Amino acid sequence: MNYDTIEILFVEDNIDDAILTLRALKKSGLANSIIHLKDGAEALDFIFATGVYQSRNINHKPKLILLDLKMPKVSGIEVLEKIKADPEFRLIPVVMLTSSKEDPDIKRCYELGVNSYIVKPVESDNFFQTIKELGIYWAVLNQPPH
Amino acid sequence: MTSNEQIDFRTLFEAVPGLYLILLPDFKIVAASDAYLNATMTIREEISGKYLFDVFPDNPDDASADGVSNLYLSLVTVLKNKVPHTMAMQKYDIRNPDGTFIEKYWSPLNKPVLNAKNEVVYIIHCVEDVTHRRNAEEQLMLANRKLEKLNAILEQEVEDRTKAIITTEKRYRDTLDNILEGVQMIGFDWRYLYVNKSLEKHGKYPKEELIGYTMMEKYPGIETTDVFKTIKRCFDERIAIQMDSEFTFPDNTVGWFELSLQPVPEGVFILSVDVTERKKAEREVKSLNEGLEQKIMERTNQLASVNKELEAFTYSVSHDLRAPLRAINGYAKILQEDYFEKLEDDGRSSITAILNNSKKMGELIDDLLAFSRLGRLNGVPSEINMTGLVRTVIEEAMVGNNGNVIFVNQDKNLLPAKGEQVLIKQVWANLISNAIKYSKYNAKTIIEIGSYYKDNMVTYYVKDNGAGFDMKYYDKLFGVFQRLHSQDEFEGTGIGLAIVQKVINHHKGKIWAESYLNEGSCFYFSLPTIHS
Repeated sequence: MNYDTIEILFVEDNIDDAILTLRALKKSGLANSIIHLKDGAEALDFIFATGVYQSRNINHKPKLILLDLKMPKVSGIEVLEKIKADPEFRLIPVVMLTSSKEDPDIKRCYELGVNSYIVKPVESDNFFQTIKELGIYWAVLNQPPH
Repeated sequence: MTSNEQIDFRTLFEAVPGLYLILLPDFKIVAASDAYLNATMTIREEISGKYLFDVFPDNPDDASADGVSNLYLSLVTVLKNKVPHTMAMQKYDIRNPDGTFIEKYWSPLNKPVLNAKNEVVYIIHCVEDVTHRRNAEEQLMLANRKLEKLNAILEQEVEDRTKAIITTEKRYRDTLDNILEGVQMIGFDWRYLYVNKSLEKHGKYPKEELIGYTMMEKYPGIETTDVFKTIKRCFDERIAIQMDSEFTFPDNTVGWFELSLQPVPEGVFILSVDVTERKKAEREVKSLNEGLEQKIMERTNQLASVNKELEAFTYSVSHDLRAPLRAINGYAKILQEDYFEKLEDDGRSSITAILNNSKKMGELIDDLLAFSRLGRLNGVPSEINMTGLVRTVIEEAMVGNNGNVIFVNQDKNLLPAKGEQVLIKQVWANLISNAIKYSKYNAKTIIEIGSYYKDNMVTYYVKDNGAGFDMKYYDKLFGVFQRLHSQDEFEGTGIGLAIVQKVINHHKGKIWAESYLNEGSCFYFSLPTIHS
């Protein structure tokens, strides 16, 4: 697989959320440049080109990382922490996705330097709209640093 | 030399300075010295040869006069016994030539003159005028009597004083003996000179076992205590000292005393108050308090952990319930978007129902979480500018409104109150959005908002002309998830008024409502004034 065209790294363990999110991103025309990974450990391997992704070109960085907060093994917060602690990668925009605004980790995420924090709406119209807008905003409208 | 016959004895006799009268045994006067005649204011020629008692009768004005009878008795005695007789001092008043009497006192001596045959031939009546001496004596006697009287008074006074002193001393001693404070007097040799009843209790010895003994004998080891050192200081420096003392008795019990030491000539005087019970109570209170604090801390920790659990639970509910709901709603949406054409009417309405119900459940979860969040808020109440706050809420509520809603009295200011602004804003938002919602079928919705003072609180009200409700269901009005209208008529989750009530209760205010079905409702709530 050619990972060099990947623009959005999407990390989500919940398969239903993943399907719905991918559908929304596809509808925004972003489908071809997305890779979906199922937990934080895999995400770290991808970003830092280790493990199964060791042959990947580490210099090609995604334009946006979408991270679910609650994941098995390595949580979204740990992934965020590692990205933002690395001078090579910390400029990549990271958007946290969570199911709840009650989440006690919101503050912690901002302290770690998260670029955005999105609560996934229950209602599908809202949900699809939210994902579309966020994909377009970060992957298309936003001008990343070079 | 002259012979006896040549001496004129009569002349000599009459010239002697003494007061002499010579009588015959029949008491006739034969001779008198000139001095006698002078003293008795008589003339020789008038009394010579006369009977004595004719010349000198008793003073007829003096009923008690007994001069005559006394003299008579004396003379008779002399005749009989033939020896001189000295009379006691006689009062015999002398008659003036004008017939009045002068008070006189006399000291008479009657002496017989005997012849060879031992017969009484003459009686010499010799008198001395002792009126002056007698007066002096009388004055002396009066003075003496006065003196005696004064003496008696003085003695009485001394006696009274002594009695008073004894009484006072006894009273003081009784008081000392019986006062609640312990009293002891310690001599310079450390011996007990005095102890009262309270001290017997304080010291745990009866009086008899203390008086005369030294402190060291009764309380071995006392030399090392602060009390001993302080008494020593009082002996040496002669100053008053106050001190609190913890004292261990020979039986190893411990007592606490407040001592007041006073130097006295005998040594030191010590007043003591037994504060053992108080100290014990204080210690008990202290240990109880410590226990209580411990308990409070434990309870607080428990509460904190329960709170944490609750938060985790809330988070879990919020997170884990929303995810599957999102899937249900999302997949139903996919069905609706991609497969609607392939479905019959039943299928289509089923999908719509799934979408509506899952959306509704999402709202319920959000409202439930909002309600439970209220219980955890503990902000600080402050003064709220209610006019400004309500204006903001109305502006937010009117977004997207088609213009059939009119707020009356908007030019009038609302009274300020004390509260947590964020929460009170939620109250207004819920009440105002309700007023708008339940009036949506009216051609014109009229909402009135106002305030007034009552019972030291500020009461606010929101009045509409909407659907209203049946007062017989009033008790369900503020219940969580309780609704008085169907979802078809007015959508809602039944949490809005429950939140309002919880916030108002949290502010120690009251909430109530009045309504007539189809005529409108009025909701009231009260809040503390800015001065409370």
